[in-house]
Amino acid sequence: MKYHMISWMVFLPIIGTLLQVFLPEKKSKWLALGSSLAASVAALFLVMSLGTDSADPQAGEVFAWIGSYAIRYDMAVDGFNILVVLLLALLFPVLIACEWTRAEGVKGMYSLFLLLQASLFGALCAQDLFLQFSFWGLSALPFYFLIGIWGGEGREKAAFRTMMASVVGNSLIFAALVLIYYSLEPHTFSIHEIAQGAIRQAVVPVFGTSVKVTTLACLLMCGGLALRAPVWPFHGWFIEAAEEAPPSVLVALAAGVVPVALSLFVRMSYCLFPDVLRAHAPALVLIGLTNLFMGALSAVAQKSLRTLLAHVCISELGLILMGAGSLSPEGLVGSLYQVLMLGIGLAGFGIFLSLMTDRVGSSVFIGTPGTSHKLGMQAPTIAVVAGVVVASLLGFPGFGGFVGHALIMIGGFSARPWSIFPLSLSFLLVSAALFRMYRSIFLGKAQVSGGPDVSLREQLAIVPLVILMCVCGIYPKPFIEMIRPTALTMLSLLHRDGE
Amino acid sequence: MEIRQTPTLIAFAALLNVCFAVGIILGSRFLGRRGSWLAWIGMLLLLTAFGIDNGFFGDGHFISSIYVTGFVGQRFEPGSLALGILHDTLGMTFGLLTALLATSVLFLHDRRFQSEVFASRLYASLLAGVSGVVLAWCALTPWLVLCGCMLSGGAAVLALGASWVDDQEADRAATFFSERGFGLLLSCLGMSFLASHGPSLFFQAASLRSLGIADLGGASSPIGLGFLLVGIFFQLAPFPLLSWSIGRSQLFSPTKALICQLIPAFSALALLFRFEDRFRELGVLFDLFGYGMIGSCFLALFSAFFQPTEWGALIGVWFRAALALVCAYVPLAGGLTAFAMLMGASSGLLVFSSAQAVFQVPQATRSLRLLGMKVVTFLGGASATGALGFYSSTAGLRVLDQSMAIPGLAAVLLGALFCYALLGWRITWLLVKSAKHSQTASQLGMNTLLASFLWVMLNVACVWTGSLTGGALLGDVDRLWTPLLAPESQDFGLENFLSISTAYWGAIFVAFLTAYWTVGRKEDVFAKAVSHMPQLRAFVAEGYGMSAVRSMIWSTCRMLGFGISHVLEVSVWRQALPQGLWCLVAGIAGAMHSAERSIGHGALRLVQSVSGTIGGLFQALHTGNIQWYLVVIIGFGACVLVHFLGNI
Repeated sequence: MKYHMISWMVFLPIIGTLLQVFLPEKKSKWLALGSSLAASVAALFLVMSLGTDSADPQAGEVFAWIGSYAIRYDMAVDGFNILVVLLLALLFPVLIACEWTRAEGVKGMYSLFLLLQASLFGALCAQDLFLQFSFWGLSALPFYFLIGIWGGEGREKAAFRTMMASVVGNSLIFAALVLIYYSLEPHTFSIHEIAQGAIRQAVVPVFGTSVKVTTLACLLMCGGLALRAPVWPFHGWFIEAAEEAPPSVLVALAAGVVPVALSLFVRMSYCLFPDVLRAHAPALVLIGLTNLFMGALSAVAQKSLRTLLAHVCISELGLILMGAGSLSPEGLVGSLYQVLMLGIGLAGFGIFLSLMTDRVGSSVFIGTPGTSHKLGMQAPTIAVVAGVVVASLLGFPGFGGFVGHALIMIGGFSARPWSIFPLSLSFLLVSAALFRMYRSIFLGKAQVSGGPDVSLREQLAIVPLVILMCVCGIYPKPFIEMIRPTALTMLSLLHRDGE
Repeated sequence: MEIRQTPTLIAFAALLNVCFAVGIILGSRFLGRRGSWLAWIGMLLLLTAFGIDNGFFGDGHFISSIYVTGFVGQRFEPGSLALGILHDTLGMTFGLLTALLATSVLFLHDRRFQSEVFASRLYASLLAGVSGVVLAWCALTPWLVLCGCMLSGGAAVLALGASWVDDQEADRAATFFSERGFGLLLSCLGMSFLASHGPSLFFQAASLRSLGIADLGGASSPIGLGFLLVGIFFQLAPFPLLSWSIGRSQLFSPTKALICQLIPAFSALALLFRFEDRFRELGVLFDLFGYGMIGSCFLALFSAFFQPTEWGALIGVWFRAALALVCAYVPLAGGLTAFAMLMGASSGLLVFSSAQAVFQVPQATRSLRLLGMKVVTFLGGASATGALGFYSSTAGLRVLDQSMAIPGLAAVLLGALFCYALLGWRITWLLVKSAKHSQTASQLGMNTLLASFLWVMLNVACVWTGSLTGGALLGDVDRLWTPLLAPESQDFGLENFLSISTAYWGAIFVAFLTAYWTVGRKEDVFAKAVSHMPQLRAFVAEGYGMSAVRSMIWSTCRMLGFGISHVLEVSVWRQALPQGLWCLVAGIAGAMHSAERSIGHGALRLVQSVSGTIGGLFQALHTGNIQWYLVVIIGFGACVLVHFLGNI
């Protein structure tokens, strides 16, 4: 059981949250950072000890929890979630470090970040649907307070709408859970047992028509995840949250919740609903393409770094959906890899946003006079970091995004060659938007004082991300080998069941 | 060809140079002389690696070889990304040439670099750019070529960074990296499309099959190859992508020529040259690409004639036209012909840029050196325009020979060559005349002269073809040794030879004379004529209004994006949906509340009426009159009852 590493990874932040209550603010910072780092160390231990020759879940921990309802504490890691575990391990200590100099309400903010970290880890590693839903539902709560208390002028509305979207999404997921539970004999929430296939024969009457349980459950679950992911056109709450949330909270949302939601979606669709996935893969590709294009088109019109980040996130998640829907080894491996690169890229973007907001007081980069900052000379390190982030998000060779993009396209084009045209247009639009942003902020004659370049603390926060972006682009093999066995096994099962 | 177990020294040296470049950027404050010594070490290591790998040291024979490794997936697995090193004559030629040119520019202008505010960026960009070209040309698989293009494009952007503080320069830099970025992305898309349709992509598949490696023939894919061609087009940025080239730049001209023009072009051409056999599978589409590039060349040349006599624009646009011709030569006459053309254009670009830097600043120096610089400038012009004795002339002859079969194409090509040569000679005369007008040249050292002479010598015909005149004489009577790159003879046949030679040399000669007559003798007739057409001049010189078209497309996209995001995110999600939900919930709640009230009131009224009736009845009973009436009624009723009971 690998020394219960998963449990340590999940519960250490919760312990840190509880202890926050008893400590003064100055010490609570270090406690929060320590708890988060400790959980991250446990996560890194899991990542490094993952065997790459097996597709089976590893480091499993299974206990009976609510035995009368066959609900178990079942945790494990495999190829579907290991890279997102790595992402979260890097992300949360960085977010806590970014809020180091916040003056008010630090204890509360750190407690909420730790709670978020624990719930996302839990949702990612849970192999029992009820347990997974518990953690996933818990992950929605911190955002209500994080946005509602520390956000901008319209924080109350943004927090409320974020919460409502989460509630509706979680309700749909819960409905799917209940449907699955009661469709099986004996009743179970275990993903492995459900994946054995008995559920695929079950039907449920809906308004006098017999509907397959897998179809209905998939629809409900995917709808619930789509609301939180956020998938176009259900992304309105996300844009509002992006405008009002503090930068670190926005990063937690875009680079934390979105990758976890995508990872859950891939796991559910490939493990529980392979028949539905096989039948509706073209629809998934179309949804992904729509997200990619609409996100790109909307990104072009943005004047604020916050909304630009949000739309780039929507666009990139469309690409990942396309990879997942390609039903090919390259596409699936590429989409799982791209989830990691999406998270890292958006985290880098968010930190860059935070640096800019601290220095110039605004995230608007174009439009009103004096908002084009031209900071390349005053803050060269920030300029370089932003350049690396942009290059990785766009998938330029030599950066991590290139590997994911290339694999998704290689996997997707053979089945759907027509997708190259909207895809190329989307890439050009996103690149134009990001280049324009870079030009406005860093190049030209400086119009405002940009403040100092990055401090040591900020360097410690951002350098690991930049290094990872470069390493993933130059030497992706170790990361690819972690996910390939699981991806290939799932695909072979999916295609075998189809025959 | 043999299979290696390790990459070549050249590849290691190139990667080491990239590390040096990063080190110079990060540690420029701590390195002495802004890191120039590190740049020198990098270049020397690279040249040494070239010498060792090509057998210049030791027993001295060259062996072609390959090295392959998997990057993502197994190396020969379908859909995988494999990296490989191809050690062949063409790649070594390009790589060594670039290294030599970079070393000569470094040697020439080290003092000038040191005086720049951001010298470390120039050194770093030089190293990174050269490494990019070397990797692109040593690549066995297109993925490594793309990495090379990324490096060389990034190096050019870094070099432009010295001038980022000026808004116009910043716009130029932004346009530069936008175009290259688009080109790179489109190339990646095209490559991914090709990889999705067949096994892992390799160059020289036929040679690899001879080594016993598994069949690497992938399915031909016009869409993937088409995207690749468009990507190469964007990276080379001929017409209509002239906006970066137009306009005066503060960047030192030889630096700009080498790092921002030559090096990115060399990297991008690696894809075009290496994939030539795959592009030929496109058939007539590849030929159409060639014809399109001829058209682009014409339009660029026409625009160049309307440029103000500012060297940055004139020389830049001229080189863009040359690149368009190089791209046209590939489908029409093959890669080696295009290489010859590229050699001429490159040597011309470097010589012109150096002459521009030397002649534009008046200070005292020796008149003999000034005369020498003028002579070298003339030689540069001759080299660039394909005059007798230069390698670039073989390109013109060969492409005319190949185009004789298509009616009209030879005439069009001849016209393009004439205009190209005319512009080249115009630039030459203008440069030489400006030296005269500026009285003297500044800091003209012998190293400048020698380096410029070297660049011209690199394009001398006998170096590459082994023929003194580059095939101008019938039957190759002046051949001294075997050609360096390919043992091809220029045997066109007597009839073709006479017509092609007459046409080509005639065009070059007429171009020279025209340039002398219109520019060399007195004032610039072109500039004078154009000054009478200010509106046309503005339109053509700015790139035929392409900036306006670009702005219009951009505005349309922004408008669409704004419309969609506003409708969905504001109108629907923040207004319509909340209001609609609120109205729905409020309506249902209100309806239920009303129903509850109505039911409540109704029930209350019913209870009230029933209880009122009963109460009224009882109340009536308590009054006196009713009581006696009731007694009578009850008594009568009792009597009737007794009566009937009695009868029973």
